[in-house]
Amino acid sequence: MTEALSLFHTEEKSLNEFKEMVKSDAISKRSLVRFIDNYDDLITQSKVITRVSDRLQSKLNKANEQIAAQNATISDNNKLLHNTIEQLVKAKVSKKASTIILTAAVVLFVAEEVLLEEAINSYVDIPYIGLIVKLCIALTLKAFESTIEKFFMRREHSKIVEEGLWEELEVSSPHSPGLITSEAVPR
Amino acid sequence: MERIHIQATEFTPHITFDPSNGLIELKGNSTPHNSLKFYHKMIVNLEEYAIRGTKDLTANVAFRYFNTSSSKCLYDMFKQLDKIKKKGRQVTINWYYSPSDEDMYEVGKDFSELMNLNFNFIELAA
Repeated sequence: MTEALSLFHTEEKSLNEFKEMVKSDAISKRSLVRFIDNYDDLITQSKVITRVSDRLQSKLNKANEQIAAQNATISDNNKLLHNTIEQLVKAKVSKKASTIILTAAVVLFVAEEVLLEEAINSYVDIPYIGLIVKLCIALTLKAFESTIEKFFMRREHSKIVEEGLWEELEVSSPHSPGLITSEAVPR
Repeated sequence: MERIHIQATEFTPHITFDPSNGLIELKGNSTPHNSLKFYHKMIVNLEEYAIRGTKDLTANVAFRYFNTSSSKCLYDMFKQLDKIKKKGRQVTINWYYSPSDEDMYEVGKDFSELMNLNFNFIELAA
């Protein structure tokens, strides 16, 4: 029943009754007084509802400002977190690559010293050939180090993407927060 | 007159109307899809109480937010409370608000001033 009723059903009913009285020329002083009372009540209602709505709109505006500020903070923190993770991954990968290169260098230097240098010396007679070969090995390994770093970096990134960490960070830091509505006011 | 007890939801307030103890409680958010449908029973009961009620009434109101159509329904309820008061029964309206929610305090002031009703303004514990 209430679904069919308007929010202002009482006021509409009074107005319709008065219209009927006007139509039938049956307006008494009493009905006029009642009409004035109803009109007076409507003015009070309008004043109350307008003022209350303005206050609550101001509350919503404040809540929206608060949410926008919080979103900006979350976004900044996420950027910071993103950068920190990136640096941590870089440090981890760099350490790993250095360990591999160092191990390879030791193995190659020992192999050069024990096996290669003697073989080379038996063919050519160049002074400091062992040192030159070691320098070549070191330069090659240095170039190889950045390749290894890039490889591990790519692998770490795809691992993070698989875990969904980046997506979560991106989702939790909306750059353009929407306005909240009355139905989403902070509890 | 029947006792009304409605649990609060995300969009509707907790409502209690206990005519035998003269107690009304409204608490929470009020943004129902159809405010009149939600408050109609309460308004009708208060109209009936204005005619047949015998006890003094205490209304504890603690809203966090309500929409415009709810404010119209609140207006209608307060009007009924005013009627009950004019019939000689004591009506106490306690308007609770959070200390950080100045707007809700002002809303209570607006109702009180424009409707010529006496509200007790009570700050909720932070």
